[in-house]
Amino acid sequence: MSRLIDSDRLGEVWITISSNKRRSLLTAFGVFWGMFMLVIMLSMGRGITNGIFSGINSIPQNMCLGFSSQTTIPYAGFRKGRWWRIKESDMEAIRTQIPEIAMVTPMVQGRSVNVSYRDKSSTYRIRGVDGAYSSLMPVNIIEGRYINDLDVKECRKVCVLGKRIVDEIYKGKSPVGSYVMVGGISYQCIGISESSSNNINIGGSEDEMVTMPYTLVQRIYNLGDEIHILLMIGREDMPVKMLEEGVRNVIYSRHQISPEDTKAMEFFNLDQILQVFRALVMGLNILIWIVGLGTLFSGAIGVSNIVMITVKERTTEIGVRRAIGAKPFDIVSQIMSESLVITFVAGLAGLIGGIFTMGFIEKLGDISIGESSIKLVNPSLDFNTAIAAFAVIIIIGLLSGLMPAARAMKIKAIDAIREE
Amino acid sequence: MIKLENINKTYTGGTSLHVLKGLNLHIKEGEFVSIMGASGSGKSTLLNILGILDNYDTGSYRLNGVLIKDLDEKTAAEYRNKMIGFVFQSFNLISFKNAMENVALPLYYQGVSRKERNARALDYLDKMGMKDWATHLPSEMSGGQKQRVAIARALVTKPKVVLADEPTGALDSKTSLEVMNILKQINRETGVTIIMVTHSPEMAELTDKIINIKDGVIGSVVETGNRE
Repeated sequence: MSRLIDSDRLGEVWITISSNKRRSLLTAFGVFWGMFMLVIMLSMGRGITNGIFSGINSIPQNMCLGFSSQTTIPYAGFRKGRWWRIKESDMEAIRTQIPEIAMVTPMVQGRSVNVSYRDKSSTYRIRGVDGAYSSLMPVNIIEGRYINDLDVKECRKVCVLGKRIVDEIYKGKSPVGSYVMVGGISYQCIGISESSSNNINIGGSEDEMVTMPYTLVQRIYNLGDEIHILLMIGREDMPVKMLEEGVRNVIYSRHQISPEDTKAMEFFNLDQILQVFRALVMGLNILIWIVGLGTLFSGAIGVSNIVMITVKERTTEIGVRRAIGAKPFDIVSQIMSESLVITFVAGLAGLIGGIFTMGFIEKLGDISIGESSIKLVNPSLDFNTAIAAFAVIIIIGLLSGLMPAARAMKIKAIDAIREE
Repeated sequence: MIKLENINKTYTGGTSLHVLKGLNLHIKEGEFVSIMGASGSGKSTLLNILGILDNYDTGSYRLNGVLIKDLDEKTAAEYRNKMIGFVFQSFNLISFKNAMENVALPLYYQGVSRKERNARALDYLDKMGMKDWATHLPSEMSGGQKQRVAIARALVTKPKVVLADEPTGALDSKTSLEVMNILKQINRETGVTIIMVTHSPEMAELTDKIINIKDGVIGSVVETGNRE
C-alpha cells in the first residue's frame, strides 16, 4: 500500500490518462519534445567537442612554439624595433643550458611555390623540418617515410608531399620514389603525409604542404642558419611557463635583447589553445543545458497543469477515497505517479527517439559544421549524460506532480462529499 | 460504543458560528438510530465529527473506547478505514471502477492483496444481492443498486459503526424502503451500530431510536419500539 507504484496504482493512472487521450498526448508531447531536443543538442555538442579535440590529445600538452619578433626596448646600444632571427646555434645553446628541455626542433617556412608532376601542377607551400617534427605535431605518414636526421644532415633533395597534393597532381598514382618539380627544381618524393587533426597546424595544413629537410629550405631561400619557429617540449614535470622563461633567458643573452623585453620573442603553447577550446565547449554545454532544460521545464509545467485539472475534476472521488481510509500519502503518491508516468513515458520516448535520430545522422557520414574544418565526431550521448538526462526526467516528473498533489491534499473528505 | 461528552464546535469563518453547544450523546453497541433536525441544527456537523471527518473544539468523543481528538490526517484515515463505514446520499461510487472494485477499495487502503479483497468484496456483494452486477460500472446501475453497492463498501472492512448520511435521500419511496430493510437486516444480523441522518420522519420511524438535534444540543430522544 505504501509503495509509490504498484499494479493497482498503474491501472488507475492509466485510466486517468486514457480517459482524455488527446489531452494527455498533447501534454506528453511537450515533455517528449523537450527531452528529444536536449538529447539532440547534447549529442551535437559532444560531436563538436570531439571534433575540436580530435588530434589535439595526441600532441604533448607541454609543447610550446617560440618565434622571433621586433624588439621593443633599446638595449646594449641597439635601437628598439630591431629585427633579429633565431639561429641554429641557439638550439644547441638551449639544449645544453636548459637540461629540463626534452626536445627542441626547428621549423623553417618557405614560400608558396609551383609543384608539378608531368603535366599537372598547382601551388603549395614549403615547410622545412627535421626528423623530430612528426613526433611533436599531429602528422600521419600514409605511405613511405618522413624526413629523418640524415636527410637534414646531408641536406638531401627529398620531400614529403601532403595527401591533397598527391590527390591533385598524381591522380591516384603513388608518388613515392618519383621526382617532383618544386619551384623549378626536382626533388625525390619519399612519402605522403596527412594531418591527424583538423584544428592544429602551424603555417598551413599538413595535407597541402611540401615538407623538406630544414637545411635544404635554408639553402634554397638563402636563409643561412636562420630558423623561423622553435618547437619545444619540456620534461614531464616542467611547466610550460618555466620552459618559456628559460628559453627566453638563453636566447635574449645571445642576441643582446633586454631581459625586460617581453615582446621580442613570442611564445605560443597548446595550453593557451586548449583553454580557449575548453571555455568554448563549456559555454556550448551550458547553453545546451539551459535551452534544453528550459524546454523540458515548459513541458513539465504543461503536465503539472493537466494533472492539476484532473485533480479538480476528481475532487469528489478524492474526497470519497479519503473518507473510506486513504491516507495523505496514498493520495499524494497517486497524484505524483500520474505526473511521473506521463513525464516518464514521454521523456523516455524523447530520450530513445533522440538517441536513434542521432544514430541515423551518424550513419550519414562525416558532417562538417558550415564551411569550417570542424567535423562532428561521434555525435552521441555518453553513458553518464544519458543517466543524467534520465535523472532529469524523474526529477521533472516529481516536480510537476508537486503542485497538483498539494492541491489534492487540501481536499477534505467533507467538502468533497457535500459537494452536490 | 459511541460516547460524546460536552462537545463544542464553532466554525470560524467571516462570522463565527457556534454549531454544537455542549452536546452529549451515548449510543450503545448494536443500536440502529436516526438523527433528525432542521437544517442548521448541527446534525451534519455531528455526523462529520462522528465520522472523524472534522475536529471539535472542546469535550470528548470516544469511539469503541478510543479517544478521538485532534488526530493527524494519517491516524484519522486509519480509524475511519477500520472502524467506520460510510453510506452517502449520492452513493459516491467511483465511476470508472466496477461494483467489485468499488467495494474492495477500502481494503486496498488496508493493504489487502487484490485476490483477497476481491473475494471479500464479492462476498459482500452477494449479501446485498448484487453478485451478478459485480463487473458492472456504477453508470449501468439503478439508484437502489448503487446504494446496495455503497452499503457493501461500507461493510467490507467489518466496521464498528456505519454512518449513513441521508441514504435514501436520492431514492424513490419503494427503493428507500428496500434500502432501510437492508440496513435493518444488517443491524440485526451482524450487530453493527448504524447511525443514520435523515430528513424523512417515515424513514426515521423505521429505526430503533430517533435523536432530535435542536440548536446544537440533543432536543429529544424517542424510542420507536421497533426493538423489543
